[in-house]
Amino acid sequence: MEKIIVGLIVVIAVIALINCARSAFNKGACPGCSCGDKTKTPPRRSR
Amino acid sequence: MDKIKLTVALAGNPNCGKSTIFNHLTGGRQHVGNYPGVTVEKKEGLIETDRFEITLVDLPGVYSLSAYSDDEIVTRDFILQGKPDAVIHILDASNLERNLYLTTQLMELNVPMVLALNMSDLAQARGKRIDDRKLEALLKMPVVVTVGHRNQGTRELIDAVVRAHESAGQLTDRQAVDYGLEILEELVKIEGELCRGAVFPGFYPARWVALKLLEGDVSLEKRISSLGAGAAVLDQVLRSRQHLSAHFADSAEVLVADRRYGFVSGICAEVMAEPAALRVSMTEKIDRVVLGPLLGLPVFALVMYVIFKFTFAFSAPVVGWLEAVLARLSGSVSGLLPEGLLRSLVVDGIISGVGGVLGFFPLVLFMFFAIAFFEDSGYMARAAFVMDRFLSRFGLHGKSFLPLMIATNGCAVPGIMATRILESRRDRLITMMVTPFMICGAKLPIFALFIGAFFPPEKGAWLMFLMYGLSIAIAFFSAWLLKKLVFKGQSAHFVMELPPYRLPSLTGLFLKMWERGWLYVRKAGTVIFLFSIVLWATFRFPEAEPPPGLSPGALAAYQLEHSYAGMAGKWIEPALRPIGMDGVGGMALLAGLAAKEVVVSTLATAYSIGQSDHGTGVTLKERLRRDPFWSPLKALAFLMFCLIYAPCVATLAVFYQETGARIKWLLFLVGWTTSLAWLAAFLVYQTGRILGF
Repeated sequence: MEKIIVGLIVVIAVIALINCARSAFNKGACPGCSCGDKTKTPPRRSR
Repeated sequence: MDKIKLTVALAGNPNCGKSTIFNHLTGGRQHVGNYPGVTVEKKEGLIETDRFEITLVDLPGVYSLSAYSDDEIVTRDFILQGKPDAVIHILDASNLERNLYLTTQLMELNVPMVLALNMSDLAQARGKRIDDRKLEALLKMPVVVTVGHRNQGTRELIDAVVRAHESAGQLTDRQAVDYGLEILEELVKIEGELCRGAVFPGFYPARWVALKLLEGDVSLEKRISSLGAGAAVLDQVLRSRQHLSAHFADSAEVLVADRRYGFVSGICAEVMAEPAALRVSMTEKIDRVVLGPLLGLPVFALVMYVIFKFTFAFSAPVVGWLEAVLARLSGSVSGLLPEGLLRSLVVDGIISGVGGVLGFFPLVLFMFFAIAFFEDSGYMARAAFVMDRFLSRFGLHGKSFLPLMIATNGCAVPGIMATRILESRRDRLITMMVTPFMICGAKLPIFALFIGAFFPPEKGAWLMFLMYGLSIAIAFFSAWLLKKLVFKGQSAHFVMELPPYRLPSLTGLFLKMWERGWLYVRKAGTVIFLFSIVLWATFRFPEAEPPPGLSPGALAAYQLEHSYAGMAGKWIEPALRPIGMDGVGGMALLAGLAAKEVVVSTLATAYSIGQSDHGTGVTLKERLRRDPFWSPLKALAFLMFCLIYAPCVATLAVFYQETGARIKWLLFLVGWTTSLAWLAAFLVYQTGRILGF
């Protein structure tokens, strides 16, 4: 039973991390950190 | 052949010699009237050349384009609604700084401009030397030196107007004031509301309206409030003003004006030389020392040392206390949970991993507070100015130092995004390549951990200072090498804003510290938490069958060695041995690619599983110190590698996007940084060994 619970926790963590990495490459920000949040950055200077 | 008709406006401060130039240019062909609805005189004149018929409109003399007087409203409305083909902006060269304030605002109206440096004879008589070519290059608009009362340079003005009109397509390439991230964020929000409600379409640029509303422009507020979606826009304006006031303890109007004055000071510092006796303000007195060629760099080094000294001296007791609390928590949970996998996951995985990172939270807070102090006081802008002299030698653009500072002040991700302030692609790519070398908030716990574990406490600030200096040196060296080998070419001209010095507000400092510090905690609670669980599993499984008769310590080491992570560590160990690292250190570095704090949490988990003293309250620092494998030399080589090697996934992702999704640059960055890191660590370790350390 203990093994199943621990296994589930690890699997959920792996899925969440894969989500994090995908989010980082799609949005330029990981969910745990808003430092790269595009809404917080100035628009590109028009040329 | 019909002549081309142009309308040209003449703008400038009162008493800048505008009317004299107007009279010289138009001769007797003048018409005086009134602007509709106001009692402001409207003077128009005609100029004819062989190709053009130019209607010259003499706008009222104004100091700014706010809405305090009819003159100001008439001037800006004429430029925005009348859409002249060009604006001749007359500047009193003997009062350049005061006059350039209007220039910054005229530039925001996005109209072709020509600058006339008028009264240049008076400026010369006062000992002021103005580099008009440099001014032209910095502002990206034609600059003509004129002496109005002698009719010197006035014909050249018309030639310049024609040039400006013909190159109007390149208009937006001009340097504009950088209002800073905080103000820009609010401008984007207001602009969003303006566009959503389709308020003010047509001749008013949305960014200009947003800026004016933020400044509290009563005339625009009145017009917006009478429109359907106006209420939502004004609500956002109010929220933005309140946010900025809370952040900087000053009104938005003052903040915007400060930025403009900063921009003007930057230009004056670049293009004007004046006798020392003329400079009187406190800001200028301080700048004479801080920006001086002799003391500029030592002052910068001193400021950085003060930041680290403050950080280490004041945070040490709090970090020690927090580490003790976390260690006690680990002990208590060990007592509560029965021996088994779940206890190991909670104690060795989550508490050790997350706790290892969270333990340094006070240190990060103190560091951010100290940096915010120098940032808000106006010194950091000077630091960039001082560094510019060196940056240009290394192939970096002067403005590149700002992204480097942003990376040091928190994270390389906004640092890489801040490279957008650089206009040339070459400068951007070089700066993006070297920004990850800076010691960001996430690398800080690694340095704090190893310096704390292997070096005496009184040397902490010095070592951190050295590492910081080294990160700058490596960034400069890399930029130089990249310039020589990959990105050849010249840097563009730029203006560095020099805002006036001010005493930072405590509320602003605490807000900034908390905003940046909170990101650290959030990351520890999410990404680091998840990684701690996964890494624990890789260090804990598969469960090996140990040979009988092993002591508890040897049993733990056996388990670690035969885990997935242990086996992977063994596999990469040969590449790490020449730089004084073992498999566990290698695994920590590999995991650090996810987020640099994970280096610490990986070591914490590995040392918690790999030693028999689980839950006994022993800190990671202590465990590292007790491990016979480590030595101060190996710690130094490890730190060297951490300083330089490939950045984390979030940074790589932003780098990938900002370089236009070019995989070749991404691979180049990873390869370049990691090989440089290996080489530097190898040099440190092998030289240290030869010298007998």
